Amino acid sequence: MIYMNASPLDGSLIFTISFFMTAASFIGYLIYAFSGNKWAARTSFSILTGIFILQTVAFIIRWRYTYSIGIHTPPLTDLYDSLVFFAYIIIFGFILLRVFYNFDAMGFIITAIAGAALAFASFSPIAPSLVEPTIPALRSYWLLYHIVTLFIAYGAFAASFGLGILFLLKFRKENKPSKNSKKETGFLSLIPHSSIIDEVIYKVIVFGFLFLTAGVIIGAAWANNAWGGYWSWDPKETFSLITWLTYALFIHARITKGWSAKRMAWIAVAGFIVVIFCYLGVDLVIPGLHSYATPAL
Amino acid sequence: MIILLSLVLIIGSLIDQSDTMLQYKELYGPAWFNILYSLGFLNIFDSWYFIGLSVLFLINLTVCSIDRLPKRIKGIIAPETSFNEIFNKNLTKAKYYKLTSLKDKNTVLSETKKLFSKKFGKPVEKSDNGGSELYFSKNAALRLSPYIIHLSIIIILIGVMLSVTLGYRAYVNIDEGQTVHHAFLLKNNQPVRLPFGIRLDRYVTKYYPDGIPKSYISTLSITKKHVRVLTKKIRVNHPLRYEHHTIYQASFGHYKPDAVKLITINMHNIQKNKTQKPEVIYAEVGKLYKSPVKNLRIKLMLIKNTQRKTGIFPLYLSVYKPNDKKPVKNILFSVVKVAGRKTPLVFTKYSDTAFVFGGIKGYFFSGLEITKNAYTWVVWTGSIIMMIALFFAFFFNAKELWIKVSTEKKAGGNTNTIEIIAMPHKKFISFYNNIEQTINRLKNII
Repeated sequence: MIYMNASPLDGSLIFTISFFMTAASFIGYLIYAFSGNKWAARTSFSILTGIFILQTVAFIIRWRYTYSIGIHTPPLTDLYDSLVFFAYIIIFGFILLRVFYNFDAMGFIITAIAGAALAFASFSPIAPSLVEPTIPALRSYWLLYHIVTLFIAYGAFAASFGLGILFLLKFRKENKPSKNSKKETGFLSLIPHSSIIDEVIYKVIVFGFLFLTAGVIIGAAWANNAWGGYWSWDPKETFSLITWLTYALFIHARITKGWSAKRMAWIAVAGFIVVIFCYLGVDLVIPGLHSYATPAL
Repeated sequence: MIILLSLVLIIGSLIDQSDTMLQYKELYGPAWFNILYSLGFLNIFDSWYFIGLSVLFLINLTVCSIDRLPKRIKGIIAPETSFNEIFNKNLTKAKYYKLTSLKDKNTVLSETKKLFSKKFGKPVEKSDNGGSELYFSKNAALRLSPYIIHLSIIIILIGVMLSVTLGYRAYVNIDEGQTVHHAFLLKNNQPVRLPFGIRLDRYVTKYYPDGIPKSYISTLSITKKHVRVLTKKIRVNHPLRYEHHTIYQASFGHYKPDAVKLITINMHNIQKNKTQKPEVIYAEVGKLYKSPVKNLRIKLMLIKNTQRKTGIFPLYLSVYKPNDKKPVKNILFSVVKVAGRKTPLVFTKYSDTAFVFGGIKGYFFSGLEITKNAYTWVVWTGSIIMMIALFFAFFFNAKELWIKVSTEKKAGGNTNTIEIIAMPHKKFISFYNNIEQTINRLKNII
């Protein structure tokens, strides 16, 4: 069943509009990737900036609406909230990255992830945009910090995933000189050298890792206030530890073992799959203390 | 090592760890249950191999860190400043650059020094017959931060071990008005004595307007030797901390069915203008009570669903004569709206005895979780150290630079050779690009 979240009151109308814009931006980036048409990339980037501004407005609307109906917690409590926030952070991260590096070629990966999250939020019946009263366990000032730090980490890992794919494509091209090796064609010629991508992957991942660590520590502090202990081996906690170990492995492999950049890119790609499972899989598959997003059936 | 640990963690997260043995037997069937049980999969985080792996991991971490630490400390306190030594070492991260200049040696040296000092700080200078040498080093002390991160992990794990061995997690249900001096351990239901008593003064659930629970609030008193020392309201996210014990609101429930408060009035007395105190009785539905006035017995009954209409009070009263087994009369309650009152008046009458509905009294118990843990501060200290060290480890790159200026004497004039070895401790392309840019600028000057 398709169910569309499009209420002007709680901001979901704007989020749904932003989904269509993301889809447009995705198409633009796809055209860019195949044709190398810079104009397409530039248009897509402006759309993306527009989405970011719109979503900021939507969040303000949603937050104000939540408070106006007497629920005094930030709108970050259910599956819908978390999906749109995920998309928001990913787009924001990409815009930031775009300021420093020319990674337009990654645009179609980022818009695909953000678009998938927005589509899930906008059309899935298990993610209604209705603002529900917050259950007692979530009524805490820790909520905001816990969620925001972790989603910044998720955003960074999403970017590292895109960069990892980009690296693997570029690397293959660089090391397999084709017949017309004199001049590189296609969008791969437009992105920086693989060694630069490698460096950015590392920087983005350590950034994400720092926020992941902060988010887990904040979560532990919160759990110590709410659940009777800072660590309860809840599936989400366990998986966040697995994610943490995965990226710790990445950082160590690079720094002390000097693994090849290609292997690092593979870990960056695989790491994001762990992240996605930690973020959505654990909520939707395994019941646990974190199952706020689990739809009531 | 990390991969092995992760595997155990994955199994742990896939199999629900909190069910009871019986639930597991139902879920997996007896054969699977026995296999899973003997592998320790049902309580994986307490299993010997998980603890063993964690300890191995801890030892591994400690040994690796200590193994490399002296060399690194030496590298920070007394770095190798000699250009030739470094040149012969052939370091993988280092890059070698060479350029020449016809200008005067002192100019070359001072210009080089000026340019690199901007980014690398003050150099160590050395001069001998072979030429002059400059050694720059930046953020060297921050090379210790990985060790501090490892140390912080060890601190956190020590804190965890202390809380596991010296602390406990327990639960207890307290009825309103009751005082308890013990709780039951979460892991095996064994009772544990508390160093104080906990009395539940009152329990309330607060609701949002649409009936969804907003908060669960227990008013608790801590007693010591029967003296009340502290009273505090606790709710979810707002526990009570007392002498290394933390008391959490975990659940609640009814320990007796709700009772209806009935105010019984003898109308006969009122008509005769006799003052009387209304008699109050708390009656549970379906139980027979002796009426406080008149020689009657009463029983509250629920009106069955099929007969229920909106606007009708859902209970009726069965009235019994003292020795009868069957009621003499079943009477409904009347609901009368009274001006100036929010709630309507609900009452019924049997001959000259009136029964007024005075609300519902619930008998609540509060489920509390009680944790003893005096060492959480160790974990938090470790966490804070870790955050700070992570920040410095990630966002600062230690870098070293060795420069040698040597002069070759020729008939047509002296040629100065500038040799540069640049080494970042994190191999970043951007570092080499930066160095190359600086060198190009140097070329233009000299």
